[in-house]
Amino acid sequence: MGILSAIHYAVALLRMNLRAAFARPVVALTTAAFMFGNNMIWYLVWVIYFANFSNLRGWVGADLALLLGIVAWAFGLAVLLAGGGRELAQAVADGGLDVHLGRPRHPLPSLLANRSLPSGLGDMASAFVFWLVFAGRGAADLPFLLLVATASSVVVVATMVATQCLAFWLPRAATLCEELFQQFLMVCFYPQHPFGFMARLVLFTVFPAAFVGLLPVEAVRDGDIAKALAIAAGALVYAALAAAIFARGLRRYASGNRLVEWR
Amino acid sequence: MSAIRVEALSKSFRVRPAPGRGWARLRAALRPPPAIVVPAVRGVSFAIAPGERVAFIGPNGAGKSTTLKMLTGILHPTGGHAEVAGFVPWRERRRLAGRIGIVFGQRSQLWYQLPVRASFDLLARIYGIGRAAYGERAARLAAIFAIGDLLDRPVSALSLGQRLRCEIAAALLHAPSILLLDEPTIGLDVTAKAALRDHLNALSRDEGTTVLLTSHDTGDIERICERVIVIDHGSLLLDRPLAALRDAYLRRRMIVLVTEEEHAAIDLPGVAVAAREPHRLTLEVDTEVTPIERVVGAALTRHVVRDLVIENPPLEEVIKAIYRGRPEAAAGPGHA
Repeated sequence: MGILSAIHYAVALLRMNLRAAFARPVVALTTAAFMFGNNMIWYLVWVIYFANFSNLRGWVGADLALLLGIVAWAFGLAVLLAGGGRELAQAVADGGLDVHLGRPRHPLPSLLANRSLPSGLGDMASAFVFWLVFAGRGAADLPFLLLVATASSVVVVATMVATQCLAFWLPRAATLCEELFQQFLMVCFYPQHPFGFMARLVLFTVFPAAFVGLLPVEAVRDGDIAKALAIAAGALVYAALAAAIFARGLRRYASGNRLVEWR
Repeated sequence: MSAIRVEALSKSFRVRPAPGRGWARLRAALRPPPAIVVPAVRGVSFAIAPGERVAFIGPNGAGKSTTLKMLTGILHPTGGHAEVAGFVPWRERRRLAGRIGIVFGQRSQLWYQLPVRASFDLLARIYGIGRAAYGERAARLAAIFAIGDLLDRPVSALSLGQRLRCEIAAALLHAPSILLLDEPTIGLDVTAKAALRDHLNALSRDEGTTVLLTSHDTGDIERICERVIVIDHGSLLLDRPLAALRDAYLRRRMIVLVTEEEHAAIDLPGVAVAAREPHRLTLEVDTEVTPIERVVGAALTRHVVRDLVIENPPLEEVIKAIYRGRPEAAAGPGHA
């Protein structure tokens, strides 16, 4: 099966995923609207902060709006197109990979695109409000912003896969896996520039929130192409790493066999 | 050449005993108890010729699904060897997937919210089936499994029986030469089971597909298969043609009669009363001595029958009978 077939397959998977997610459009759009509202309320906290303090170690309200927009886009796109990743640990635990493993394709893409969370659409819509209204960016900035935030989205998906893959080694740890991913998201949503060397080392390596928070904001704010390329490189590296962790974990897959208590 | 060849296949799982509660749990977390090895499949060997229809049966936890998953490449064996359609499943899983169809009775590959046809379209992409070949194949399977009018309905709107027919058709879209079915009739009512069995027979007859199915419904075995492999506690217990198994273990049927009369009686050779209650008579019939239709005919002639149920012997009874026929096995620990 060649590259063309792989592209057709990927497009078909995504189209199917979105069709399923929006099979009940009113429910889907309401969920998205609630997520949009949720993000706006979240930003209100920072509005109150910046009404009382002029900056946060050099970051002003516009920087923070830029950050929230990038994280919202990255996360929203990730769960809209690859929402199945959030259920990977559960699938590992209860044998949900069987169907995907019985097909003549790599199981990871179909696992990821097995589910779409329409709330992601609300996240993505709120990104435009953060950028264009609160960060004061213009339409001309959008292509660069979207490129950077989309590269960050790949890092989000890779982290989602890596954390959920812990279930291969820690049976019955689906909640722990999800909790770890939530921690990652939490760090993404907060300004990371005041952190010291050790914290940054962690954010650029094992817990790559810097590729979703700090680095994209600096790349867009300073128009720094090198940093944008670093994000793209980071996205590729983390995607490869996540695929490798998944492949390694797959060797331990027990297809939901209840005999396996704690290996 | 065999469609499926299995030699001394085994699979064990390493298990750490579950800790107790409270302090014991904490102690176990800090210093885990040593793992123990639990064998799920122990040195199973068999071969299946192209076009054969084989039932792979056994009670819950016997190791049949684990064996099937090794044959599809989903699980890696601990030992032994297997070839399916000429491929070693766990080494060539993706290449093998194009040659086999898999149906897990309790797992769906259809998208719940969307029409069946949408899942078929995606599967055509997954298997790289050309547009013309796909159209032809889908139409053919729709005819065999009588699902033409179901294709445009959302999967969520189908009954379990309808969904399973669609599942099997989906697994056959790429025209596999081998079909592996894991508990295909589980949860189905009598009518849906019968329909599904008829469709599988039609498929096998028309296309010569090799069928290996796991089940613990003796009805599946009798209606679909020509050979039976029985597995229990991970070991092969019996591998025989269905006719031989039927003669030895499946010749008895239970008939439950609900009659207008308070006390009913059927007096025929080979027919014994298993239970008697007012308006209800349960008979055990040796079908070698008296065919089932003769017993039913006698019941309808002599009594006003409100309800009549013919039951297969439960698989557990068949397995017990097999053990009874193998004193050396029956004497083993935990196999009585």
